[in-house]
This record gives sequence, C-alpha cells and structure tokens, in this order.
Amino acid sequence: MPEGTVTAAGLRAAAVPADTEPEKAGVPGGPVPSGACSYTRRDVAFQGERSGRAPLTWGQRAIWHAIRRTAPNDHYFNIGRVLPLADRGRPVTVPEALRALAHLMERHESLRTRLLLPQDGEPAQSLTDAGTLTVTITRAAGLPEAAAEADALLGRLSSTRFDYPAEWPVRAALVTAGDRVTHAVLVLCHLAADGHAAEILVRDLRLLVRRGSAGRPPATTPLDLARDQHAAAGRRRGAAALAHWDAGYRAAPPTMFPDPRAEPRTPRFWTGRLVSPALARAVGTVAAAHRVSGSTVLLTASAALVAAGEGHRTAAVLPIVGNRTAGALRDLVSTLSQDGLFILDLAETAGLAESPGAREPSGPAEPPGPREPSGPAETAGLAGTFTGLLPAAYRAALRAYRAAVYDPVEWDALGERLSAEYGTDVHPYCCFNDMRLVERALPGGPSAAAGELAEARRRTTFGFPATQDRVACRYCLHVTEEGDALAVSLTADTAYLPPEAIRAHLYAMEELIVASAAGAPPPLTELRTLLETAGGGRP
Amino acid sequence: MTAPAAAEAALRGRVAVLVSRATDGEVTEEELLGAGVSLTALGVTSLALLRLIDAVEEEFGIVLDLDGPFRFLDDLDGLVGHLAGLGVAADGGNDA
Repeated sequence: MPEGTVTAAGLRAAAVPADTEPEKAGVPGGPVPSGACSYTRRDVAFQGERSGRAPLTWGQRAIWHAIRRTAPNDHYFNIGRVLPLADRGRPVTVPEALRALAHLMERHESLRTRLLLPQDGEPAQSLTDAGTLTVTITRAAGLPEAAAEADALLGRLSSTRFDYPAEWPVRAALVTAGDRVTHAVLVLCHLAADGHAAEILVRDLRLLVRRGSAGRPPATTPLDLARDQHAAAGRRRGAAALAHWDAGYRAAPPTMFPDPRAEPRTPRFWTGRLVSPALARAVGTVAAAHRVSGSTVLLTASAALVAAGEGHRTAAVLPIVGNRTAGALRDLVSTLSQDGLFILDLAETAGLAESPGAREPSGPAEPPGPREPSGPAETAGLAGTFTGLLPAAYRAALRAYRAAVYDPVEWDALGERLSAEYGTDVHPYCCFNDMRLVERALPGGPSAAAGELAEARRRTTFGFPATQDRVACRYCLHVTEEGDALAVSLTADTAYLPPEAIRAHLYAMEELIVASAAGAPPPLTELRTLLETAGGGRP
Repeated sequence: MTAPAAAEAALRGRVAVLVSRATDGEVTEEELLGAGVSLTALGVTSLALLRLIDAVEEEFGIVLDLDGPFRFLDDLDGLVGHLAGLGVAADGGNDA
C-alpha cells in the first residue's frame, strides 16, 4: 500500500491481552499511584496499517514549543477524559474494553506517533505500526465508588509529563466493579491531541466498546497533514497567515502587560475561577442581539478589559484556534490548535457605526445618553460602549481564525525580527481559550431579562483553585461550561496581575457582559473603573 | 438571458451550494437564493463562514482577503459579486 493511504481493512482487530500482573503500586510508563488500592496491568497488542516518519505538523511544532517553554511543569498540557460505561447499555467486560482500546490505537495514527529528537536536526514525528499499550485496571468497591476511583486515576495519570520520544502518547486505565467495566480513563499527550481530538477519541472509544466499530476511517492523518503543510501550497498559506501577524503586531503595543506591578507570589502563577450562570445567560443574550458568537463576546470583553486595565488603545489577544473548519480535519485526532492574533483597536472601532448590515447592533437599547467619562487620560477619545465594539470585533475574530495555520518556526522568527526592530520583546503574553466544543442554544429563550440576570448572579462563585510555578504567558483565560454556568478561569503571572487583580478582572468581565445583556452596556471610558469596583461585595 | 447574466446566475447557484454545504445543510440553497437576506440572519454561523472561506478558496483557486472592513461575507450577492470581480466563473475556473 502506498504511504499516505489508510483503509478500513487496515483497522483489523489485534487485541491480545497479554500478561496479568497485580501489584500494589507503580504503573510503568505512568505515574505512581498512591494509597493501598490494588492495580493490575494488562498489555494490549495492536497492529496498525503502516509506519513512517515526517516533519512535525505545525500544530505539533506549536505545542512542542509550548511544552519546552513550560518544562518541567509540562504535565500542565496533558489532556484527560473519563468515559462512563456503566451508565446505560449492557455490561462491558474487561476483554471487550481492552479490545476497543486496541482498535482505537489502530484507528488513529496519532496514538502510535511519538516524537523524534535527532541530535542534529529538527524534531520530527515517528509513526509505529504495531506495539503494546499497558492498561491500568483498578477495582472499585462498588458502583457508587467507581466514579471517584476514575477521577482519582485521571488525576494520577495526568500528574506527570509524558516521555515524549519513548512513551505512547496515551495512558489508558479501566475501573471495574464486580465483573463489569464502569469507566475508561484516557490521558493524552498534547502532541497527539487537542481538546477536540480528545472528544473524538472518547466518542470513538464509546462506539468501539458498544458496537465494535467507529465507522469510516479518518480522512487524513498527522503524517499526511505534515507533508501537505510542508509542501508549496501549505507554505503559501502559512506565509499569508504570518503577514496578518506582522501587520497585527505593528498595529498593537509590543506586549499587553509591560510592567510588573507587584512582587510575584510563590508559586508565581495563580488561577482564579469564576463560575456564573448569569454570565452564561448574558453571553447568549448579547451574542444573539448582535449576531455574533458567544465566543466573540467573551474574546472582545477580555480584550477590552485588558486594554483598559493597562491603558492601551489597541488590544492584542491570542485566541487558541481549533483549525478544524476544513472537512477532512473535522475528525482528525491530532493537535491542530494554534494561536491566532486578535487585534482590537478600541479607539478606532468603538465609535464607528458600521454600515447597515447583518451584524449591526440591534439588541438591547443603549443607555440614555453618554455617561460622564471617568477613566484616566488614556481613555480620553474612546467613544461608544462595549457592544459597539462587537461588529468590528467579529471581523477581527474571523481574521484571527483564518490566520492560525502557520509554521511556528517562522512565527518565532517573525517575533524575533520585530523584537530586534523594536528593541523590546514583541509578544502579547495574553491568550484566550474557549474550550467549549459547541455553544449550546440558550435554555428558555433567546434573551435574559435584567431581573433574571440579577437573580442568577447570586449563584456566582469565585475561587483560586490552582497555582503553577511556570507558565509561558502572563494572562491565560479559559472558558468552559459547568452545568448551566460558564466557568471562566484566568491563570496569570502575579507579578503583573496579583491575585486581587485576577479576581477583579473576572468579576469585571461578568459585570460588563451582564450589564450589556440588561440593556446598559458600559461605556469604554468606564472599563478601568469597572476593574476597580466590580468585585466589591461579591463572594 | 444574456451570456454575462447567465454566467452570474450560474455562479450564484454554485456559491449557494457551497454556503449550504458549509452549514451542513442547515441553511438551504432556496433560502440563500431568496432576495437580500444576510447570511448571519439566515443562520450561517462564524464557524460555517470559516468553512465557506475554505471551500470557496479551494473550489475557485483564489485567496479571499479579509484585511480591511470586508463586506463580501454579508450576503450571498456580496460574495458572488466579489468572486465575479476576481474573475471567478461557475465552472470552478478563474478567468483572470
């Protein structure tokens, strides 16, 4: 078979549970579990269709650069998922689950692909056709305890960095209760998968367990994608994307957080997390009213608040872009996400009325008359309100999403060139990651009333759930869903954003969007004041 | 129908197919070919617009420039007019 071709026939079953070796602790290739639980290891053989070598895809290169910058704390990038298997359907046995895992390894070349680190030369990817995966199996006392056991396993398997050249980029475990498997646990190396890919793997594993097949094989593979990207057409597209970055960098300040404002804490990076049902409702309301996505509303709020807080007219934010719009990439298990560059000029866009069109603001009424500007000198000249930014922000976001496929090596070179030209580091150090895979339709109608939002805000919670020693950024905003709420996490460098500033920023974001949804979008001149006051009296 | 008009109608129909496909059929060709409704008002999401840009570029072998206050994604006729201006023909070729 020629290289670059994968057929359904290649996805033959080859699961051969090999040895069984109970032990108290210690999972080869993975972290050491704690406690007195008994673990079993099973080696599962898999036989894929082909092997091969290629340069890294641009997505792999991007995450490899991030991993190197974050090491030795790069377990930060591990992606974990738990697949419940006892919730419905017929009971699943251990051999069935192991067979499904073998099929999964055979189906997705990414799971058989490891990093090559030649002593002289660029890192590359190496696809292996056959091998064995060691699966950890743990027995729960009963069904009620199984979920907690799965979560504990997820935590343990996620807590150490991958051995990138040696270890398969997936760690797998099963939890059993009685004679049935209750949960499958997958921990993925970010070189092999991004958040979307993790969901594809969970979906496929479920199908393989339940039906024995996950359907047609994926349309392309990391190996073939790398070859396409490094060919002439791919390079042309990459160059066009980097032209956007060059222009964007030149339109924005060199960095969003130029000056430390506090002694850094130990650990230096703190994560603040706001969970808000009101924010979920408000984002949906503003998005519907202004015909933009909820993601654009959140990205714009993040950019506007960062700019206001630091006194910039122009914000530069790096949204993590999924890069899965091409049909062949939708079901590809690989890490396709790369940074985009979102440039928002508050002074230029806020006061401009876009011509009558689809995305002209048509939602909640603006407040009657402008409020008195109260911000510092930097905000003088800013006209309009937060929602007035959205039509231009929508276009800026589309540009950012379109320019997120490029060679990170050339991207690094661009940054170095501009840094040398400016005599200072050129990098926003300000990123935005909407990790929701889909934006759900709003429950209970398209818009929320002010009273409903005020009521919902009583359920907002805030905390500092995590700290890190090292993150290669100063401001990382993550958006996820939690039940009917949005969870917005801000991991920040405490030298630039002390914990109280992290908290204030997240409350200001909630206030900004909730007020906009309630028909009173805050003027841009008041954003800095909002950052100073929004957290007052809140939990 | 004159030849240029027929060519534009053919291009319009072709682009409507691409837009509909980009929405996974959520927005039909008939809806798109109706007069003067914006793509977002019809329910074309930003994700679908990105798919559409990919599809148009691949189909016609062009690059859509998103610099400046681009308007050609506002509605079907804006996009068709923009493509015609680039010398694109419905048969997938580029006349320019």
